[in-house]
Amino acid sequence: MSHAVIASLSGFSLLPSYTVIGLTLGGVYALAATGLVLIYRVSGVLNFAHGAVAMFSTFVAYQISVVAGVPSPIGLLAAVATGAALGFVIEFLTIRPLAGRPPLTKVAVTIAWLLVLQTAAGLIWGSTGYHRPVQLVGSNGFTVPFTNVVVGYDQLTIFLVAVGLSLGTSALLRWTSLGAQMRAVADDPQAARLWGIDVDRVSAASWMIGSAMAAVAGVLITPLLNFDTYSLTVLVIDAFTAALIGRLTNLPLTVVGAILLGLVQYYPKAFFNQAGLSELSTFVLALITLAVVFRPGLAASRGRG
Amino acid sequence: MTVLLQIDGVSKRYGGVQALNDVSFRVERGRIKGLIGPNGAGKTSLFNCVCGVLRVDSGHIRYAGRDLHGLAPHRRARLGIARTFQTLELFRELTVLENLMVPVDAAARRGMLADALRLPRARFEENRAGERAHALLHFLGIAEVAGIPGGDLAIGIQRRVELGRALALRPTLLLLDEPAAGLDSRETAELAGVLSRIRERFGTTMLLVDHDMSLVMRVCDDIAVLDYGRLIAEGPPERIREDPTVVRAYLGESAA
Repeated sequence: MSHAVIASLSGFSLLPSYTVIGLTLGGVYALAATGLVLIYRVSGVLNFAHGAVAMFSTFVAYQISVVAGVPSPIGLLAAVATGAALGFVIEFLTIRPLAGRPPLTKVAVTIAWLLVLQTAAGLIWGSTGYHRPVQLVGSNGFTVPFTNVVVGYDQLTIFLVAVGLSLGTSALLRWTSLGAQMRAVADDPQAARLWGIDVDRVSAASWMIGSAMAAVAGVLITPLLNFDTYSLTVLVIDAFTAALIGRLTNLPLTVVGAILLGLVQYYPKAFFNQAGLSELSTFVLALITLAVVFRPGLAASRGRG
Repeated sequence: MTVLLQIDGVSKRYGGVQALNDVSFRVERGRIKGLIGPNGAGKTSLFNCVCGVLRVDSGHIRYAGRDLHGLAPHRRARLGIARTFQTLELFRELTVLENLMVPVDAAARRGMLADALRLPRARFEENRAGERAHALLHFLGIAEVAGIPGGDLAIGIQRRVELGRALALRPTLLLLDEPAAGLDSRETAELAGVLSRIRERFGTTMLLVDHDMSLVMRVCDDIAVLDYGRLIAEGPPERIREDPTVVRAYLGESAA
């Protein structure tokens, strides 16, 4: 007990640098969550394979940039292509044929994909031990003026890229033709079809864009955690928690929720050195969100009107 | 007069109900055809067969000389068949202007990448579609609601927006499913005026289903009458009004 108290007193000095880490992590969650929400809104499917898609795509980048030594931006592009391709394949082969089936059936299919991708990655890259992360930017940094807080250029890049892409997706939905079609499909797929919108094509686009975002999130996050097939697959839990805060529909609120989640996961670590602490924080935040934001019955239905 | 839409021996059954039983009639180009009949006579089923939501069991539907068999609804929309709905189907979260433009955008069938990035060509198309949409809202007398979400409008206005959305596609054939439902007599009279102006201005061929006889008798050039899925009469309004079979079908319903 006294040990914990001492630890908690020294924790305050860690808060500024943990804020930096929390924000960085939160930015990546925002990106993953935005992709998840995009897919959910347009196609009505909660994609449990979202993290697995991120993981598999990131291992492609790892293979190209870490193993083969090709410059990391090319590895990132390969991950994006892999993510988009996986999104297309999942939608085209296993979601589209289930049109008209209960949402739960489609969710079950995404869980199957999670297992398939997890197993495949384990067979190819090994399911034990950590891998060297894909470094996009060197880990040099700068000290924030008038403080002793050091911000890494990699952290800054991750945060800016992630948040920029998330907000870019909001803009895509808001301002482009494809975005308007996506909102129309999200609103009422049947009516959208009757109004000449190729619902299958718009839905496939949402899976491809959403999964490509998961891939970018996966590559960005590898330097921040122990990079293996498991840790990235469960990224879907963090993304889902952030998405809950945005009620599974509101993208800007999802970004805010993701950043909040990043901070909530890191702050307790400043005070207590306990394994599983950030998972506990995520769980508590998700429960609070469910209790506060959602009323019973809302979670099962699609966000309309 | 050339035939635009030809319904040829169309039958449709669901469950134990024969919704359409060997129905045949034609709609000539530039005309407004009324489709009436008691509740459950098969009017909406016929609409759904024409726009492709329902598949006919037997018979043919020809549009501009082409058999529509097997064409998906969005493909039919691209051929110039547009419709309004009995129940309101505006996209609630999209603004009125977006409601009008989304179908036009979809029909333009650009590449997904052009759509996503709004490449200059796409933007140009969108501006032209936007101008046309604005002009239509003006034409329908609802220019001031362009920026309001569809779900926030009064019913009468929503109906007009729906009409505008169908017209934005510049349809050759417009299917109107009970456009006067929920409107009072003044609004219905206004609607009749709007429909006549639409035909004058755009030369649109229309197939109109409605219970409101004042509307149907006023705007239609000729009328087809369905009862229990069967075509029981066809002809100009003045003849339909006097037709004993039609009178019996309607009296039979009210006596029941």
